[in-house]
Amino acid sequence: MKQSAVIAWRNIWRNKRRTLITGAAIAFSSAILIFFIGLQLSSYSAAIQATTSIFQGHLQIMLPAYNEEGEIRDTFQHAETLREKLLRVDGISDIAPRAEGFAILSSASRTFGAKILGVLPEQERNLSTIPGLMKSGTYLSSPTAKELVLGKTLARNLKVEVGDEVTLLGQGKDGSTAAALLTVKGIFESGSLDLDRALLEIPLGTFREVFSLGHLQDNEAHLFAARVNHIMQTEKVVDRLNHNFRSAEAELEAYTWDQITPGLKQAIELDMASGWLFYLSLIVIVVFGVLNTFLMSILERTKEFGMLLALGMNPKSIVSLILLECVLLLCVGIIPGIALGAGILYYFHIYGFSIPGTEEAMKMWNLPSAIHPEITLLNLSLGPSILFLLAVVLIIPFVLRIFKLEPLEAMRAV
Amino acid sequence: MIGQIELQDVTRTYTQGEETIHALHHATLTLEPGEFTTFYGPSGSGKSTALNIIGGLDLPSSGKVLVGDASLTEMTRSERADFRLHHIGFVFQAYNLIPVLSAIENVEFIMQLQGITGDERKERAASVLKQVGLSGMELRRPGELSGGQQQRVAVARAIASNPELVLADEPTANLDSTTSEALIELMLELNETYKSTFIFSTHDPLVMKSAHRLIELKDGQIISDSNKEVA
Repeated sequence: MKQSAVIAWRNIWRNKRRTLITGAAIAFSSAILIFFIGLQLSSYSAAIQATTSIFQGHLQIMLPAYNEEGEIRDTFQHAETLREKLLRVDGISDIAPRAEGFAILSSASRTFGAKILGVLPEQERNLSTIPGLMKSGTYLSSPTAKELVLGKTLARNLKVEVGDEVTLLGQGKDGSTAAALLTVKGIFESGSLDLDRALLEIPLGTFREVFSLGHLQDNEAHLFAARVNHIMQTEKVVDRLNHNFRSAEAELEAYTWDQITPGLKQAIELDMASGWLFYLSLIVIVVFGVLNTFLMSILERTKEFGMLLALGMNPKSIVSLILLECVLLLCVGIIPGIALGAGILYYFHIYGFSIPGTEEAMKMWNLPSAIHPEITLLNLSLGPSILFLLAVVLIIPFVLRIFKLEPLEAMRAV
Repeated sequence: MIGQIELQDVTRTYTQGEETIHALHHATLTLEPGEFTTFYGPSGSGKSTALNIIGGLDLPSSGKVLVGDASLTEMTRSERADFRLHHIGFVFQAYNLIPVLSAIENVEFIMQLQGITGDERKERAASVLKQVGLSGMELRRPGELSGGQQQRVAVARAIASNPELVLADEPTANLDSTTSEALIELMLELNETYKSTFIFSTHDPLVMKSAHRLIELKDGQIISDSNKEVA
């Protein structure tokens, strides 16, 4: 093996210029792949983070029936006790109970429909960015106050300002009429058009009272929204919850952010597909360059392979030697490429990457104006690994021709 | 030891367009172990074909080749390759050294394929290189050696693992007369030392003069076979 590695390494440097040019092409494309993949994955991460942090959390826990039908009657009890237990589950950093309903809202001059969210203000501050996105007024003050906060579009539609009163009219859990007169405590601007147009938050205690969610001591809620320590752990935590927690506690089921908001995942997948079209084009071009270099090198050495076969070398050993040369040639490009790519990623990780003129658009989508790509093993290895594997796989059929080589014919090759 | 080499009514034909060429035509001969034999004759007489068939690099169109107890004609491709590796040393006209390896690494190469371990391999390679007069040039690559020196490395490679049979296809064709003479003397010495069977193909009078047995070929047929008295 050592001898083969020595021969393979020296063989790739027989034509230094050709190897350097091929290596440079591999290095350059690897660095480009690392940078763009890193940027793309980090922008998805930022988009997911932004979306989940506004309101929905990384995961939600609820009764399966509520997830399917969204009926107000599908509540669970003892939310506070459950919360304490859930907080002890490995991976969960924050968790808060919520109740949801729909109601007609009336101001002095307008009527609109909206989603009503019952929240515990203190717990919500750790989970959602809405308490910090108040455009005017302040966030909810206590779990039982007769107040509300609403999105700026909804406020504009209702023509209300901080201090105004809004009448809420809906249906309670028991079928009774849910009605209340609440004061506007604050108006938020989340950056999400949907939330700003159709979300209204009230204290959870008030919600339970207005929508008749059982007795106060029952602590009923529709769901828990939770954050995990790192978004990449979401699935693991959800599995953990569904395997270890569900059987013991109230038939609740946990759902990941993408199960709750499949649209975001689909948008990411669509964007990823177009990104990969570019990456694969780049990879294919580079792989053809590598193939060209390699086939030249194989054809030039047909006579030498014939000599090796004549001396009694096993064709398998020759094939292994050539594949080892291919791997080394790829490494000559990929290793500096990864170093270069990591350097570029590191620079933008520190200073951020932004396209001039897009800051406003990014802000509108609640995204940071600059992306700070992460330096992860995945970002560093994904592109170069695909390039490496594709090159090796495409070279194999050419290398296998060695098995058909007759020593005498090969030695006579020009 | 591989023992006697027998060619039994061996014919090798090639087709070139519509023409059939008999590179070897009903050749029958026996070569004894330890012989220093030369096939000679004009170009196209079948010298190289005979050598290639004895070495298992080519197969006859008809007839049988026996090397000791082994029938080369009945072996599979990989069995023949294995046989070559363990029993035959080759010296080619164009040296055919591995250009990226030094002289000593070239000599070690075959021994490594044979599974000979590191220290023993190195020792033997250095000793054989010394024997062929290349002491001090062990680390030079083929490109840094003259034609004669490269052919010496090729001889060293061929004999390093003490093969029972050494086949040399026109080994002096690219060498000047002084270098040729030195090389032939070296091979005679090795033949004497190791008792290996040496078979050459050549039209070099120097080689013919030194051979113990001369087999003349013409149009693929053996037209004379003479043994000289060895002193």
